Amino acid sequence: MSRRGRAALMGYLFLTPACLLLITFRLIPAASAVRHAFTEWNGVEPPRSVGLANFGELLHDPIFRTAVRNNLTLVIAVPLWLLVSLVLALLIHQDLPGSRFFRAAFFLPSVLSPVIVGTLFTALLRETGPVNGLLKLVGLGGLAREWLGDPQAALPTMVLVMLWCVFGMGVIVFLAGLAAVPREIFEAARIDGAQGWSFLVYIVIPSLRYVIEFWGVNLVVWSFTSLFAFVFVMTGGGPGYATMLVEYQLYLQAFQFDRMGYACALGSALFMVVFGIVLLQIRLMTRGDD
Amino acid sequence: MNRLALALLLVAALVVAGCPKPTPTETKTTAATPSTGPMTLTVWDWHAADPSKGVGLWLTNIDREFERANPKVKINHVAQSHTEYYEIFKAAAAAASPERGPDVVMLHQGSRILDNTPSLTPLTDYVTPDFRKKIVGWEVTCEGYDPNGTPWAVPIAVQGLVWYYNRTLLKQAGLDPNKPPTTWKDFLAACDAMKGVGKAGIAVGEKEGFWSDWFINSAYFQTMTPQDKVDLVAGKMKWTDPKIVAILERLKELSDRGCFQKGAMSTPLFPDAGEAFMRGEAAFFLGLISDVAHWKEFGEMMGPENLGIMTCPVFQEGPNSTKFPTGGAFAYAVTKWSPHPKEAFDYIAFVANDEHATTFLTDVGSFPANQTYDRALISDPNAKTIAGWLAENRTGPQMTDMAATEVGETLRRECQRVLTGQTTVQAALAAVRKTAEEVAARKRAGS
Repeated sequence: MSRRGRAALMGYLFLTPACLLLITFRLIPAASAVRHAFTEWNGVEPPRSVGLANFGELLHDPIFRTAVRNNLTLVIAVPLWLLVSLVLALLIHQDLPGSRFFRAAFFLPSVLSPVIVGTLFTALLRETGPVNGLLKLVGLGGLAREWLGDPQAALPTMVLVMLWCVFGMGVIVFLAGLAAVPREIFEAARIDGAQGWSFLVYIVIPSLRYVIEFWGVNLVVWSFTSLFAFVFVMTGGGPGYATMLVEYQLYLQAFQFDRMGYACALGSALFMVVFGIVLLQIRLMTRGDD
Repeated sequence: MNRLALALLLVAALVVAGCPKPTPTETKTTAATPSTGPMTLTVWDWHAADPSKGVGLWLTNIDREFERANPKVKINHVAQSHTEYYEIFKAAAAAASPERGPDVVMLHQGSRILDNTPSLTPLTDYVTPDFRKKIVGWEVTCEGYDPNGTPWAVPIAVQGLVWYYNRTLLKQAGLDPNKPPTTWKDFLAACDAMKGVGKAGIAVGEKEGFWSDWFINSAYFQTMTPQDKVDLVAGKMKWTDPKIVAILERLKELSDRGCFQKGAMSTPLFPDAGEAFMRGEAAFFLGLISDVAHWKEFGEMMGPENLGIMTCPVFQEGPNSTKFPTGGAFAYAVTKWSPHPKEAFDYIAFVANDEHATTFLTDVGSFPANQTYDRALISDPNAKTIAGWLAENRTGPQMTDMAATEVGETLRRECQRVLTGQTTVQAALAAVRKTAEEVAARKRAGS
């Protein structure tokens, strides 16, 4: 065998464990879930084929529509999550006094479990909690409310809590991206008079385009698939369905109502929605690359 | 483009893998085999997590007694999380075999048992008429909610919902602590009086929607007959019936009138709302009679002399209007895959025997389903009142216990929507009715 052939063989050998894990724990269960989406199945008795009935039900399910709408609200918040992280990363990148401290402090929430974050903010946001106490102290008592029990406020409040939890990781990602940009580019832009908004829009964002794309896609996928613990701890999807997300509805259908088949249909629909949004997002961001 | 395809493939794998993981569909069962040699019975429950006190200690002691009485049997008591108990049980059922999985499982009485009958052994051959006679609660552990139907589990405890009140607060507000409000009008007036002394009327925890559920159970005797309840389960009576509308109207009235403490919608029922009551922040609390949030817990904290007990204030007079609901306590069942069903039932019967019924009351402070316990041992005045009501048969099964899990969940969420002004009572009950009809249709299609 040639040297190149041996190198290729070694490469495949190293890839094999990861591929096996991916196939065993991701692709096979995913394919099985899609197959069960066409069945009525309680998880114990044999599944019964129902064709497209589960998907037909989805189209008329008002809770699913509410959950998708809530999920899309979170997607709309993604630019805010990106912007906050980017601006803070830029400030730290200027080597301002205390920037090391802020880098560590901003990152801290990212290593906390969503359950801890959810419990912490549930306590802070109570009607009689510190947030309302502070608002009253500074004369803004009119804004005080039952943040997680008010259907108008609950979802926006959760968006802010999730921002607090995730922005630190974004700062680290953008700092890594900024470190890879030659300093001369920023210095030249400054000499040419780029400042503030124009510096951000015409210099920083194009320089970090692929990092922003990477982090944006991550946040979109995260907003659809990784917020279960926040909802479970903070609101349970309520009051009513005010903070119901598709993944929480999936959990209810699968593990509370024993409707595994319908839950699999929900999961498949969730995949289609995320797939579509991510595809669109990547298309938009890579437009003009060729 | 290859990079793009690879990235999308990874995203696809990550998202779809979030779906519930299907497990083998065959429920592996074996016929019971005569068991003569040493054996281990695996028992699952959510109480064994703390074997140092309460029900956990009571069960630990019973396990040791049973092992002494049956030297060939070893009890392997496994504590499971209460929060995810049914998810874990379903996973166990899907993967169960005679070598793995529990032989005996603790289940809540009501729909939690009847929803899981494919995983349970019918106890018809084991429950004798004498055994059946001394235990109450069969109507929420038997097929079709018929106390004479196929028994799927043995009730161990009696749970119920009664209204507790703080005598000291009533006195502070100028009310007679020995005459709690019995009519709806007086109750609303008492809540108003509480506001006058800077306290809330009722300590409510509606974050999970359970308080509304409890209120409906507490009040339904006033508008519905026992036959109505049966008709509701059978689908003959609709959830939009005026008798049910009247109950939810009262619930809404309490909220509109400001009877709840601040932040009720985001307050968990356990333990926060109960603790608010114990701290004296509200005068009334709709609580339990066994386990937690009950006379023993409140009495120890507030002093039994400061605690009073009553049934739901009456807004509609009727023969059953002062009844209180029971159900939702725990029961023990034998799993379908257990290779030792007889021994498993023997263990359950041992837990439910006369002697343990008495220790359940004296040591745990909870009411046993086995009614042969010695009532003379009760010293707490509020517990005496409850025991008296139980003896007078002033009880009936909870209404929502008989509803399918999905219907109960819809009801709780719709009640939250009513209380936060997102919907009307009629629209909320129309949504519950729609869910109930869909569940019934699926059940018909499945059978």
